[in-house]
Amino acid sequence: MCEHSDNIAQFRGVSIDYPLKKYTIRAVTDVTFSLRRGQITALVGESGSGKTTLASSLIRCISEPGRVAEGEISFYGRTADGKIAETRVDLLTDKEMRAFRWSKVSMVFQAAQSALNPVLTVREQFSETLDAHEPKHSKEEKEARFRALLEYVKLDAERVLASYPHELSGGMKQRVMIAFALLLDPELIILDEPTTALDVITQNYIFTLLKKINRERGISMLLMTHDISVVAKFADYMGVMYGGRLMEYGSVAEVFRHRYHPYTRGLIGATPSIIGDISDMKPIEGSPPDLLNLPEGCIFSPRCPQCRAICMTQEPPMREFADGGKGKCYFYREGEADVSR
Amino acid sequence: MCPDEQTPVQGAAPAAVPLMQLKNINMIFKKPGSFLADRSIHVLKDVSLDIGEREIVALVGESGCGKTTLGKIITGLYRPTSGEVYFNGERVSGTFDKKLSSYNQVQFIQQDSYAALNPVRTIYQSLYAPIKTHNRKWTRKQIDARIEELMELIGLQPSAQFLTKYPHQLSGGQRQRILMARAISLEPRLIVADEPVSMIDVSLRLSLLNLMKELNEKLGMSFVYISHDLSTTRYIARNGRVAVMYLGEIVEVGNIGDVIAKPRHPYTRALIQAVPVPDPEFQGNDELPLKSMQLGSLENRGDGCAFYERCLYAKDQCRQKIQAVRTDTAEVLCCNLENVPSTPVYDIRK
Amino acid sequence: MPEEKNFKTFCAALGRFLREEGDAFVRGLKKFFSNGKTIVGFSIILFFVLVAIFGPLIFPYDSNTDMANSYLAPSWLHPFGTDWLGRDVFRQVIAGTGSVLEIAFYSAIFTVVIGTVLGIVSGYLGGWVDKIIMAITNIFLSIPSFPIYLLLAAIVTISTPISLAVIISVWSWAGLCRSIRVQIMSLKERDFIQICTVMHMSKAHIIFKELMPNVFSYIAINFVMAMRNAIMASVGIMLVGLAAYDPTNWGAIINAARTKGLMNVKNIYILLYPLVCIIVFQIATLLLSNGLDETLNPRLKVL
Repeated sequence: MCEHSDNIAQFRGVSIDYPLKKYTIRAVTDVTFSLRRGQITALVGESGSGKTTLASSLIRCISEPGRVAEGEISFYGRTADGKIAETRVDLLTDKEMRAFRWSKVSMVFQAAQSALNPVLTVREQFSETLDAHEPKHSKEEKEARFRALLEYVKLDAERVLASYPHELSGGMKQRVMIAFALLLDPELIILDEPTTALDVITQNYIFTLLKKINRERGISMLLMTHDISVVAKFADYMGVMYGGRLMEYGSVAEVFRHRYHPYTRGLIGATPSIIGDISDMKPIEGSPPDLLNLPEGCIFSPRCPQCRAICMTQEPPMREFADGGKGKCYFYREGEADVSR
Repeated sequence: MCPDEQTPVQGAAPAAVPLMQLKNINMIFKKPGSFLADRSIHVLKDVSLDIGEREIVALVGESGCGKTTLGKIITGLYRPTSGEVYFNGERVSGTFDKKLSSYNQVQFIQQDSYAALNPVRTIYQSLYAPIKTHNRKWTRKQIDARIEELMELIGLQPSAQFLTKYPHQLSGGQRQRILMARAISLEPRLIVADEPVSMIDVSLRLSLLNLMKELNEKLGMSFVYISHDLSTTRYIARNGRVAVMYLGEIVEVGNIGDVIAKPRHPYTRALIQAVPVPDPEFQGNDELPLKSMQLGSLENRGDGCAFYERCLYAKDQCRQKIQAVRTDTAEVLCCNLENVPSTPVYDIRK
Repeated sequence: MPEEKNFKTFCAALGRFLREEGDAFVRGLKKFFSNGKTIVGFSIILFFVLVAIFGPLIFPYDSNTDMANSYLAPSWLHPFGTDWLGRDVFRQVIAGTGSVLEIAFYSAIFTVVIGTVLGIVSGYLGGWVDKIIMAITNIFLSIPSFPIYLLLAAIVTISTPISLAVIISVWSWAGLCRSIRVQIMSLKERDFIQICTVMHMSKAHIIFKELMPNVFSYIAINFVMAMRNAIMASVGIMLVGLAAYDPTNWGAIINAARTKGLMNVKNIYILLYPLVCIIVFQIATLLLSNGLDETLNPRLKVL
């Protein structure tokens, strides 16, 4: 179990299907990777890359009619006596899942508006969730806990607890969501585009706050985003997703320094920045893959500037390396020894 | 940005008569408040801005800073509460203004490309109608040729594949290109683009911005680019000007390279520091130079500085009155500049 | 052979025509009939229409009284029996179908036209026009319709299906008008209408080309619903005997069966036939409108 103590969660060969009337869409295909304990791991990808679907599978919140078709999902949580035990998330019954969700893994959604119930005050929502999981608390205990949490995310607890969601600004709502995610003291928080609707100054505050939570409380985080600059600023490890596949995984510093994978390289080059030379920035040609009509071979091959003959016939294997980095490309870290076989 | 990229033509003051001139624009919305008095929301306060021929001007600010309202005043969708709008030296007033309508010289590209196209009409119908309306004598063949020309310009080929489709059958990037085709179809001289790439996939953003840049250079259209994102703004505006807005006021306006390299207004400094940079080795200080993250109120505005509550360098005098100051590179709405650091926030050249 | 060549070019042209022009039509039909409820509802209504057109030709109605054969039980000669004057009830019901459908159809047209036009004008123009139209609408909505039908029917001589349809639709457009107005008000704030203003498109273009197609499905559904309401109202008016212009109308048959049935119980089962017809027709319109709603309303669309 030694290697497992470093990881908080692990996906092994996970594929997720959306069976529709006429056809089945495979939103996530054969993804294997781990989330490091106490670290912030980011999943980067454009719309339709499957990052949200993959992360939601950890708390079985995949939107209907999505199903985990293949693979195993494990969570390595701490038990009451402080030991680490494996939980097979994909095998939990619905009842066990309800107990697991939020107490072990919680989530901050993209649209805080729709995640909060519009007809309940913040106090009522917090209290409802706490009662569902830990019914034994007294009223005073609960109140003290809510206040401590809201003050921790730098909100005026008195005012916010009595407010309805529509009375709060976008940035405040997102901080309420973060406090809500911390309510049951989880070990992992999933962050689904937590700042997409917010402006840069609020975004900066939110991420500073999240980083503080990560460092002070040791809570692991899984961040889903389309913005690679946020990853550079905030995350420790990153996975890059494209068309439902994990294209590259490694530490943020390594991935950005070497830019081994052509898609990652393209994505970084396509992101405008306020520093550097504008003429270095250029878009990735072509259009994102259609999941119903994927190209032969490597799914990035039609847009890849380094595409060779082999790329168009057979899907490349995941090349893994001793330092934990891996990439789905025939020429990923070419010349180095692949440890995967 | 490299200094040798800067051409003196565009960054400097625009030509004799600017294409569009906004003078002391105020916009006040009434909202039902208590039964005694309506609440008045002062969305724009004394905004003046010139937009030159062939120029790209960017409006940047947080949500709620009034940048979209200003864009709608420029397109004529809103009529300002007070202030004057001049187009080509002539005063214009708002929607259905004869002087603007006879030329259709200002067009608008909206943020949400799905909402901007009628869901029950095909792309062809959406492009055909405005051309027909403003060129009554054109035959169907002439209009078809014009549409073909537009489709080639925006790079959607073969055009037949797109024209027969409904908006929901196209991707976001393709729809945004259609919006551009529609905007340029009447050959305007100024296009207002409100966050045109914020809902587009990252890998496609630059190609859309390149297209806008190309239209600006090839067809000589001026652009007003509205965004909260300084990175894409820097990419599109290059040597153009940027106007940073805060609570309905323009707090700093100047050449975008200068503003990013040497921001002077305390708010601009915070804004630039907050922008994430796609490079883990290059990260600024997490703590922003701001007192609080709470945005001020748009109601009951006094004469003082709107940024007073959040400003680290504010003095008592800032609450009394506010005046714009010209520095060597920009015009800054702050009377206390000697107390604000003038060092660069980032070393832009890396 | 020149004829063969001509025929071939004709076929090719026809094929092209069908492909291009017919494509949209076929797609529309396919979409229309993709829903089971629509098919069932539409078939039943089609059946009633066919009965109304061809029924009287095959089973002509003889209005002559034949007192010797009154109150006959159903038989091969008189499948539904005969009434108190010895008239064949089966033929009465068939003859009445036409007038019931006419009332439903005209009434639905009046309702939809008045409701849609006023709703769009009120919602799009706003201001004092909106205030006046809404005031009138509210008056019509707040007065209960049925007593007014009775009152009107008592004052005005109702002798044709159209006059009855006018009376019914005068009190049924207001609800539709209100809901169309609300839809137009939300549509006109949408980006694609704003852009029309920026592009200085005419008001006529905005109303007929941009707004109308967006509420078309809603109008179609309401047309079917208006037919349903009109039949209910017309039968009601007939039932109380206030518009006895036609003794074959279903409502009139029920009325006769009820009033004469009081004197001779043997006759009372006659009211079952028109009642069953009405129920079947109502179910058909409900199915059709629900089916249309499911196919046309994007909010109800499931994958």
